[in-house]
Amino acid sequence: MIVSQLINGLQSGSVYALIALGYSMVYGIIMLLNFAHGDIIMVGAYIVWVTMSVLGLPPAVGIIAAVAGCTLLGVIIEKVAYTPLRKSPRLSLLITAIGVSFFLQNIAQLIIGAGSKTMPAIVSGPNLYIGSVNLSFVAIVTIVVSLISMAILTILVQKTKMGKAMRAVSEDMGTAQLMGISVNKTISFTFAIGSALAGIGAVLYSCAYPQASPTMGSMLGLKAFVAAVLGGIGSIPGAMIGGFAIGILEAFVSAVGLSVWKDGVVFAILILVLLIKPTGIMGREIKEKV
Amino acid sequence: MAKRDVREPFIPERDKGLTPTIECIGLGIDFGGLTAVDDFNFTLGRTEIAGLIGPNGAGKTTVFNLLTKVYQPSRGRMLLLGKDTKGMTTAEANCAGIARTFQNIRLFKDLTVLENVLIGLHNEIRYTMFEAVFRLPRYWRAEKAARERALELLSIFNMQDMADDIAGSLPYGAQRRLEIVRALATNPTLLLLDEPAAGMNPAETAELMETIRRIRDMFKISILLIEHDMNLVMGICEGIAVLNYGRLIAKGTPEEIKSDPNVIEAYLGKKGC
Amino acid sequence: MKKNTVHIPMPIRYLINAAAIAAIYLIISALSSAGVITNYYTKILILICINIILAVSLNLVTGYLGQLPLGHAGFMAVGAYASGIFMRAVSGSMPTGLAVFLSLILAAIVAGIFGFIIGIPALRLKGDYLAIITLGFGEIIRVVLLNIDSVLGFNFTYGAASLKNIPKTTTFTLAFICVVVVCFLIHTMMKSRYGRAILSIRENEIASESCGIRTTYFKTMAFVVSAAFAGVAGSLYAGYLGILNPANFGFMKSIEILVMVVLGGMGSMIGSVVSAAVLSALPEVLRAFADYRMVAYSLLLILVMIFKPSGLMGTYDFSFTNLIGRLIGRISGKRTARKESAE
Repeated sequence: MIVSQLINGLQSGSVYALIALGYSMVYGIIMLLNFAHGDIIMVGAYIVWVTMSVLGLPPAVGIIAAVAGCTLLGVIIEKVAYTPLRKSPRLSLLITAIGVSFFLQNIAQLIIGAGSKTMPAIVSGPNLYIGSVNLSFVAIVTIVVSLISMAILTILVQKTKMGKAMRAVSEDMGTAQLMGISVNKTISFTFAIGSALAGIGAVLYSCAYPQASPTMGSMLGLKAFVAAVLGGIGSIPGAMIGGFAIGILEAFVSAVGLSVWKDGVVFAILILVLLIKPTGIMGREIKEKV
Repeated sequence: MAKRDVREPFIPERDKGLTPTIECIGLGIDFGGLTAVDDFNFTLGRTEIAGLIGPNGAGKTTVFNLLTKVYQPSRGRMLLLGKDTKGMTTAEANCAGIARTFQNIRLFKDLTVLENVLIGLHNEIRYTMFEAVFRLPRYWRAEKAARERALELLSIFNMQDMADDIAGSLPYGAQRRLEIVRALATNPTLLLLDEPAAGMNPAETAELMETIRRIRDMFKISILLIEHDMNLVMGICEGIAVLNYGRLIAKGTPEEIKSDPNVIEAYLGKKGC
Repeated sequence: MKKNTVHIPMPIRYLINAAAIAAIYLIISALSSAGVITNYYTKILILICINIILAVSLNLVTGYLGQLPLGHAGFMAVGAYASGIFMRAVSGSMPTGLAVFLSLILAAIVAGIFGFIIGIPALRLKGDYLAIITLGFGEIIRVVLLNIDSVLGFNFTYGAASLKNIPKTTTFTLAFICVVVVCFLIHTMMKSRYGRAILSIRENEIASESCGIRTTYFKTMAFVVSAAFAGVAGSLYAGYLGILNPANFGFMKSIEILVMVVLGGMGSMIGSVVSAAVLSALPEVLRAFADYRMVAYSLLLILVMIFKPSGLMGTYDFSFTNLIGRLIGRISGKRTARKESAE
C-alpha cells in the first residue's frame, strides 16, 4: 500500500519536477516568477488533443508537436512580453506574467470552450508487477522519461557552452555581457528549455490524467511552483528534489484519506518553507548592501 | 606642547567632563566565517567632529551599520550617552539620538523635499491615529508646526524654495544636502555622515566643511564622518580613527595620524624593499 | 502650487467635497426613483461600490506600501462569510439596520484579525516572496472555507454546497456610504504622519528605519487596515448576492482586484476608483462581448505594463477643490488680463 502510494507520488512528482525546472531556470536567470509557465502545459495538452483527436495523427506526432509547440510558445512569450520589461521594476514583470497567464487561459476558453476535452491514450503498454506492487505502464514511462530529461538537462547545463552561458547570466548579467555572451540568446534558450520540459511534462500528465481544460495549468503550475520554492528557486537540483517531495507528500496525504485537503497542505508547505528557509532546500542567501 | 598619551581616548578640551556621545568597547562583528570588524574601541566627545578613515573595504560602513544597529555586534558594547544600546533596533537607535546619511543616497525619491523632511520629523509630531483620521484640532496644530520646522531646517541649507520639488529631481549636491536635513530633522545627538563629499569638487567640498561646522555649532551635536577626501578630513576633524582590515590601527588628532607609520603603511604600502 | 490656482482654505475644502459627494448621491437616487436607473443598473452600481472598496483597500498595500499581496480575495471571503453567517443567525431577532451595522463591523474585525495573523509572517518577506506567501494564504483560506464543515462536524460554511439565504440587505445607499467612509478614512490616514511613514517604507525601507520609523509596525498596520476594508466589501457582497461559495474567492478574484489597482495607477486613489468603476461596469454594459472580456483584460494588463507601467493615472492624486481653485484662478486671471488691456 505504502509502496504504491510512493509510486504515485513519484509519478506526479516527476511531472511537478519537470515543470518546476522551468520555473527555477527562468527565475534564476531573470528573477521572474513566470506565472504563465503553468498555462504552457495547458497549451501542450491541447496540442496533443488537437493533433491526435481532431487531426487523427499518430501519438508520436502529437508528442513532438506538443513539445515543439510549448517550446515555441515559451520563447514567443519571452520575446513579446518579458523582453520589453527587462529594465523595469520586478513588480511590473510579475504583473505582466500574471497577465500572460490570464490571457492564455481565456484565449483557450474562447477558442476551445470552457469544458474539458478527453484526451486519447498516448502511450500504452504492459504493466509491471514487482511482488505485490502494480506499476502501471504510464507510471514507469513518466518516471523514466522525467529522469532521462533531467539527466540531459544537467549535462546541458554543466558541460555545454550554452549551459555555461546560462549559469554566467544567472550569476551576473552585466559581466556575462562584457564577456561576449549574448544575453538575449541565452535567456531565450533558457525559456526554450524550460518550456520544452513543460511540454514533456504536459504529455506525461495527459497520459495519466486524460482530461484537458483551460484552467488545468493553473493549479498544476502553482503546485510545481511550490515545488520549485521548496527546492530552492533558481536551483536546478532543487527543482527536482522539490518536485518529487511535493508529489510524494500529496500521495501520502491522499493515502491517509485527507485528499480534499491536498491543495491546502501543499500551500501550507509553501508557507512553512518561506518562513523557515525562504531560499529553499538548495538555495543561497542574498544579502542586501546597506 | 606635551605629547598626548595616545593610549587615552582623544576628546576635545571643551567636551572633557561630559559623558561622551559614543563609547565603543571591543566592538566586533563576524559574517559567517569572515570577521569584518574586530576590537573597535572608540570614544566620541559631545560636540566633536571626528573622522573614520581607511582604505576601501576596511569596514568603515560596517562600523556605521553597527552604530545604527543595522547589524547587531557579535561582541563588545556600545554606549550612547552612557546607556548600553544592546538589542536596539535601527528605529530605536534613531529615537535614542543617532541619525545617518548613506553612501548611496537613500532619499524618498518620489516624494517632495518637504515630505522627506517631514518624515524625518515623524517622531517629533505628536498626534494619534484617531486625531489624524478625524482631523481633530491637534492634527492641524501639529502639522502646521511640523511644516514650519521643516521649512526652518531647509532654510539653513538654503533649500526652502525647493520644498515642493520631487526629491529625485534634485541635482546631486542638493540631494546630499537633503539627506543631511532629513537626518537633522530626527533631532539627533550624533550625526553619522557616510562619504558626504563623494562626487564633489573642491569648491563644494569647502562649502560642505563650513556647513558641517555650522551644523555642529548650531545644534551642539557630535558628528562622525566616513570620508576619503583627506582635505576635508584633515580640515574639520578634531579626532580621527583609522581602520584597516576591520581593526583600528590608529586614533588621534590629524597631526598624530598624518605621521603615524601604521597609517602610512596602510595607505601607501611598506617603505623600502 | 501652480500659478493661477486660488488656494481654498481648509474648512471650505471639506464643505465643497462633502457637497460634491452628496450631489452625486442625490442625483443617482433621484434617477433611481424616477425609474431612469432601473433595478438592473442599481445592481451594477452596488457592484461598482463593492469593487471600489476592494480596489482602494488593496491600493493601500500595493500603491502606498509598495508590496504585491496576491491574497486579497481571502480577506474579502473571510468578511463575507463572517457577515453571512452572522446575518443568517440573527435575522428576525433584531432590527435589520442594527444587524447590518453589526455585520459590517464584525466583517471588518474578523478580516482584520486574519490580516494580522497573515501579515506578521508575510511582511517579514519582500517582493516576490511576499507575493507568493500571500497567494498561499489566500488559497488556504479558500480550501479551509471549502472543507471546514467536515472538521467541525456541523454545517458552518456549507462549503461547496454554498451558504444560502443570506438576507439581501445591501442597498445602494448602504454601499455608497461605505465607499465614502472607506475612502475618507484612507485619505485622511494617508495625509498624515502615518501615511507618510507608509510611503517612506515603499520608497526606501532602510532609510525609513533610520528615521526612527518602526517599519514592521506600519507595514502590519497598513496590511490589517487593508484586510479589514476588504472584509467590509465582503460583507456588502454577501448582502448583495445572498449566497456565498468559496470558489468565488480564489486566486482569480485576487487577480481581478489587482488588475483594477494596477490599471488605475498604483498610489492613486482616484485611479483605483475610476478603474474599479469602469472594469465593473464594462462587462455588464458590453454583455455581448462577455466572452472577450477576460481576454481583453489580460491583453490590456500586459500592454499597460509594457507601455505605461505606472498605470493609467500613475500616482496622480485628484483633488476636487484644487480643480475648483484652478478654475477660479483662470477665470479671475482672465478678468484681470482684460482689465489690464482695457486700461
